[in-house]
Amino acid sequence: MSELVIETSGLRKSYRHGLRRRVAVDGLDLAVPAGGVHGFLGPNGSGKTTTMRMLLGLARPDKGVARVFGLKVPSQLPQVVDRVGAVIGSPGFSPHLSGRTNLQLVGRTLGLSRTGVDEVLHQVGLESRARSSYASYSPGMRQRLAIAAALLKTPDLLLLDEPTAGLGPAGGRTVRDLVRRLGDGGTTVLLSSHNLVEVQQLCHSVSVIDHGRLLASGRVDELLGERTSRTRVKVADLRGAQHVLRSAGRTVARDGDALLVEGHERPEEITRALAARGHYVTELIEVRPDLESVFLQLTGRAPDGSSTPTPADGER
Amino acid sequence: MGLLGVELTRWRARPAVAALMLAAVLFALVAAGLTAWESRALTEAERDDAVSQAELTLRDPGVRAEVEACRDSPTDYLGPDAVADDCLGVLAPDPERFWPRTPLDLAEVLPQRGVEVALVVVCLMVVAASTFVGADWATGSMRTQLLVEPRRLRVWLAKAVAALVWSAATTAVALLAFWGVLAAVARARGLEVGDGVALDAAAQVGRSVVLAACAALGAFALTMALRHTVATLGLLFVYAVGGEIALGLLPVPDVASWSVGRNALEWVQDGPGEAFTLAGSPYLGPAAFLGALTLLAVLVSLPVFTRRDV
Repeated sequence: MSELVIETSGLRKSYRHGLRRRVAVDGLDLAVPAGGVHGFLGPNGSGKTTTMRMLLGLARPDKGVARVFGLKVPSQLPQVVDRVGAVIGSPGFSPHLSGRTNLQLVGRTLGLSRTGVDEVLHQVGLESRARSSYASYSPGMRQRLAIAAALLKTPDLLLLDEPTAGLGPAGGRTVRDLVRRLGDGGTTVLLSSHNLVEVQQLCHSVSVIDHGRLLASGRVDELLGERTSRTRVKVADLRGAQHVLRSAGRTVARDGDALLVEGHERPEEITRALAARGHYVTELIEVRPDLESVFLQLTGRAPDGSSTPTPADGER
Repeated sequence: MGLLGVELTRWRARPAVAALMLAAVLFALVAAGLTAWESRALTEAERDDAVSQAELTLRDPGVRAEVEACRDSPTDYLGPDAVADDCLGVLAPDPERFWPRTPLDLAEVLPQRGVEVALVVVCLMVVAASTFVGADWATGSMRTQLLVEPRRLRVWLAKAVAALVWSAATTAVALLAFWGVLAAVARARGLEVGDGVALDAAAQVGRSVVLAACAALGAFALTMALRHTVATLGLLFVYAVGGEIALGLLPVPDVASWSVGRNALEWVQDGPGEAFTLAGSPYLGPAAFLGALTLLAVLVSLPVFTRRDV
């Protein structure tokens, strides 16, 4: 097993909400291996940001232990903070100062030279607007400046909370390319995102949480591998074809104007069984499992927190 | 040093704070200019007018009767050694009484406009210190700073020292400008600035600088705890004004000694009043009172900032 960069055990955090307390993180056991991009998935309000804030010393856990590079946080955070960069929540900089000056102030706190500032501005594609005041930046540019600030340390671990939220297509792509490059270059990136396609594209491993608890964790291909492919079949008579396939021992669900058949091994058996009863297939496609279907199965919710029934929940 | 340097830069780079610093210096210069203007030399016409008014007053039957009565019995009016010829000189109105303004006297400026300017500058520094750190909370840059330097005590101390240094320096510049202008005006008018007055003014500037630094530190500490400039200034306003009213209503002897305004006033001005007095010193009592308030703000602020979630 590879070395763990982040490790939490029984991590718990609750907030006062009026007269009651609301549990944001409830005994979370999280393990993030070194290197690569690790996705941190969960619906809105599942505890992702709170977990990241606890790892960075911005919030104190009620219970449990959190370790970064093997050291307890927040007590030993100062010993590892130079190796950790982060973008949490909406970016916060002095609005009247330029992007470059804001970064220079961060750099001076870290004891870094000005060349490092120019380098990270180039990395996030902000060099042409470096002298503009932060107040004039679009939300996407602000997000990229926050990432630049996180990169000033040349971190071994980068925590990014929804880094592409609010970015346009070009800005999102810049950030995704950057995250991919960092992950490939050996930096461990913990990436929280609602964009499951993005996570599937970028991440080597993921942890899925909901209600502050870990639901699943592992390599993306392993998680997807646990789910079998399905076969989407189009025929003229859906009801009749469904009956035929069920009689043949198949698990079948309706999916709009087609049928979804569990499994995709030996698809010729499907066409053969249907043709034998006079149902002629007009379309037969393998539907591979994706992270979104895994996510929906695990949480029963869409990433934005709304309850969304999976297609497989249909009639069988 | 890096963190302190950053905070010192951040203070002066914030437009609202820079504007308050500039306002403090400009206010002191305007006050000096106003003092110089209000004490400008009399014109010949003004002097002649004063002499005329004095003569006119002397013709008043009431004044003449008074002078005559004095001449009849000078010792009753002017004391045992007086003679009749003294009466006109003493009771007749002096033309100086009719001057439209008095000449510049720095000893007179010290307890009046000198104190007013010092207290206004101190108030501006309170607002500046609160604005400085309130903006960090409002813009979210405090979180960004803590992601870079998670040792919150260090962050608090660096910001506190920046607030202290800048408010003390600004107050010193503003008040030295005030007194510098007035001293130059006095010399230009051929008035002598005595060593005693110069020393008193220097001492008042020194005490004002200390007060500004403490007040800025207290405002900074409260804003770090409350995380909001308006909340801090509102609280201070309620304490200063509401407290003053409450103290006025309380039927307790020496209750005025608990007034923050009185203590600040007596710390800056020369001489005992209604504030606290300790060990016979007019300054020790106000210093202890104001110091205790500042310390209280710091003691509340530090644990709140170092332990509360951001």
